[in-house]
Amino acid sequence: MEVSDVAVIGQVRTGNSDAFRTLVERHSRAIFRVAYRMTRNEQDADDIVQETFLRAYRQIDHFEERSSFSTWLHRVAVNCALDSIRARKRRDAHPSWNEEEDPMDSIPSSEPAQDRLLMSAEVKARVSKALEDLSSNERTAFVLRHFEGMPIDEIGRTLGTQVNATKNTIFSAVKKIRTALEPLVRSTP
Amino acid sequence: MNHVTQDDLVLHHYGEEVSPAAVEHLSSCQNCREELASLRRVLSLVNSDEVPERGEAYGDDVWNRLRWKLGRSRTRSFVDDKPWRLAAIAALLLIGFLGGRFWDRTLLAPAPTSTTGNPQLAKAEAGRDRVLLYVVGDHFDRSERMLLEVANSDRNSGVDVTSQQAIAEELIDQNRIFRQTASKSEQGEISEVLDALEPVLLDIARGPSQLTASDLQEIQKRIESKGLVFKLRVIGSKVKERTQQSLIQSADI
Repeated sequence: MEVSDVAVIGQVRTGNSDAFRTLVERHSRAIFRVAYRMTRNEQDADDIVQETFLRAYRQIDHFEERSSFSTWLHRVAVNCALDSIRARKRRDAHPSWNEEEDPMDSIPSSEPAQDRLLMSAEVKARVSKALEDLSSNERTAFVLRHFEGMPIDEIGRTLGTQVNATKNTIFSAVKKIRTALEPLVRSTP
Repeated sequence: MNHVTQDDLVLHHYGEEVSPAAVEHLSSCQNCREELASLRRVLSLVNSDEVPERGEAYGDDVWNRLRWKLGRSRTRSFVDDKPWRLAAIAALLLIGFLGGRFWDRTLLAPAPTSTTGNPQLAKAEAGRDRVLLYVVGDHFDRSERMLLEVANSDRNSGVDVTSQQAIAEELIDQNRIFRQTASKSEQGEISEVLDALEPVLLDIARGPSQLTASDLQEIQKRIESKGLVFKLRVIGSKVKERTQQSLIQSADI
């Protein structure tokens, strides 16, 4: 039978740092996914996973057993990702490749989908671009709501924003995504 | 009732609370239902967003890179007590220095009497430099993390920096030892960063624990104006590279 996260945390708290390995193995892929979706950068996402578990380990005494470890860990990861995004903004004087014009944009959206594979690649490229074009706050709020299913008030607590401001951030993200992707929906048979 | 707003459609799609009137309207209005369906089609496209795959062994990889850091960050040893920590660092540097001399004495020809161009002394200094590189890399990491926490705090509100102060207080003493050693070793870049870091550490450690928004902005300005986080990261990576090269060279001897 699988030992629960809370039981493992109990072992870590008594000084058994090797027990922490179980938590790393259980949650690292999920944390990578949320980190990647927020940063759109593989290397940064890997670094965020490391930093998340390091912070979680240091702050494990602050974890309250009545809540879910996964939710708590996600919150730590989101904070790490936000730090990473802010740090990258400051140090990146030059635009990265993904901020440049996407050549796929030149393909008319109404072009008939003769090759489903190409169409699928275009859809993926457009989706990726639409997510990259969101501001970091919009992307974070959207990723947490859409992919992670986090309730809006919880997202607000994570981002340090009021519920109404959080809602507006999500509305703004969805609006931009709709503008970017609606032509694809219309052109898809 | 007017049609349901786009914002309410988004809330409804995500299962958040919307007014009963909006829900009722939605059940009876064909236009709004089509609008909701269109929203859902667009948002379902987003699910095609691909995340690079991380294999089953990813957890192992993460753990292997993480485990050595955990030992130092949670398990307390005698080195965690401040006086012992400083003594241990000073001793490490001394051992590096003396180790270099001993190494020479046993392997090299008798030393010339002049210290200028003295190979024994040069070897001893190389030993000290290796130890310095090793310990200062960790010092840069810890400083960078602590400064990032302060630099990324919300500048529009006050913040409690008690935990950062405790870290800054520890870092100050180490910083002094490293700065002096780096200066003696003519490690200009390292010495320069440590020089810039020290007043900021002092500001954080000796200032109030509860920073007002303007206190915080002042410290953030100092961190940013010196480009400290960036310097720590750049010099820190150079230090790590040199440590690895140094270890490889030692292994080759």
